[in-house]
Amino acid sequence: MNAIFSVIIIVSLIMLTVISPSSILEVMSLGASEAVKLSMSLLVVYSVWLGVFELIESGAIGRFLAKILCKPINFIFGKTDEKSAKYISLNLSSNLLGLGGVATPMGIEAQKTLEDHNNTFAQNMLFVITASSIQLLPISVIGLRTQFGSQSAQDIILPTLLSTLVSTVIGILLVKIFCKK
Amino acid sequence: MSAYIIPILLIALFVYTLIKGGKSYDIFVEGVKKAFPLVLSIFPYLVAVFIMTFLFDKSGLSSAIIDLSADFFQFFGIDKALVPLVLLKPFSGSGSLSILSNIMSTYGVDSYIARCACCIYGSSETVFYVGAVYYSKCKNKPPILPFIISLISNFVATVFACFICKIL
Repeated sequence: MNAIFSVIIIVSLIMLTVISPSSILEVMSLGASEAVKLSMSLLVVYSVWLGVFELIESGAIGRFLAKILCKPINFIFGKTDEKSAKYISLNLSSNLLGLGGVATPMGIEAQKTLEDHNNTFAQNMLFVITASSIQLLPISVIGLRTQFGSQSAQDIILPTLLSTLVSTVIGILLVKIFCKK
Repeated sequence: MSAYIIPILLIALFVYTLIKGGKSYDIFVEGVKKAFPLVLSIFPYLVAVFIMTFLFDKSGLSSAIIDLSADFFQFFGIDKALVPLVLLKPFSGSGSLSILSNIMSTYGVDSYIARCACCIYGSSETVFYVGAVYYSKCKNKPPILPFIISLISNFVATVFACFICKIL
């Protein structure tokens, strides 16, 4: 991340210095203000969902989900501790349903507990799976297509699902091959 | 139908907690307590990623890369009109969403290009955003290898999407 960040920032800054040096601060502030806006809306989403998730965790549903997803999680992630497995299962199930805002807090917790257990392999796996998108129904895209007056807004589901599957499977395979335990 | 899933789950959850001991108020508040610290820990990473994205976009670096790489993408069957979407998606969800609606209004929502764009948008993720946010509570920052793997698998999915939209 440090390498990517440095390269993109330095090249962009040099280009902006050539084109319009006076706009640099404005552009950076625009970025920051976008981040502040997003943080505020995330605060709203998390306030609602973290309350709900505490209920899920305290009850049987969390254990139930972890139990069903236990086999596939062990197969993909290798051996994980119980706490991480629960966070991973909550993260994956809400990501599958397209509740990205809900999935994120669980993913952050999972990454932290995995790091505490020195499980870099599972950390890489969780990151790659999330970053390959595993949403089952592209709800926002279907909504947008309807808005634009599409004749068959739902047509997009099957090809999207197939390409999502391709990216996730390839991601998992590459992590299995290149990120040794 | 799907509109009922979340309401029913929520009702079931609160009823279940009531039966099991009824401390749903205490438990709910306990969860909400984590919201502010969580946003605080993500915040600096969001700022860094967004400043990077804005500089990348506004400096003309992104359009320079789009021009330079159009041939490369065309080689893999990715139309030139889709290149901005493919390149911006790893950085920004909202940015690529505006490109997506732009493509829909330019080419027509049911055209091959627009369907392809929907497919690409739906099957890829904002890799840099995920990387920054998911590791925000970790001491070690994400290594480069999973980044490269994610970008590769998203790219393969994009090529596949362009292909599958021709048949389906």
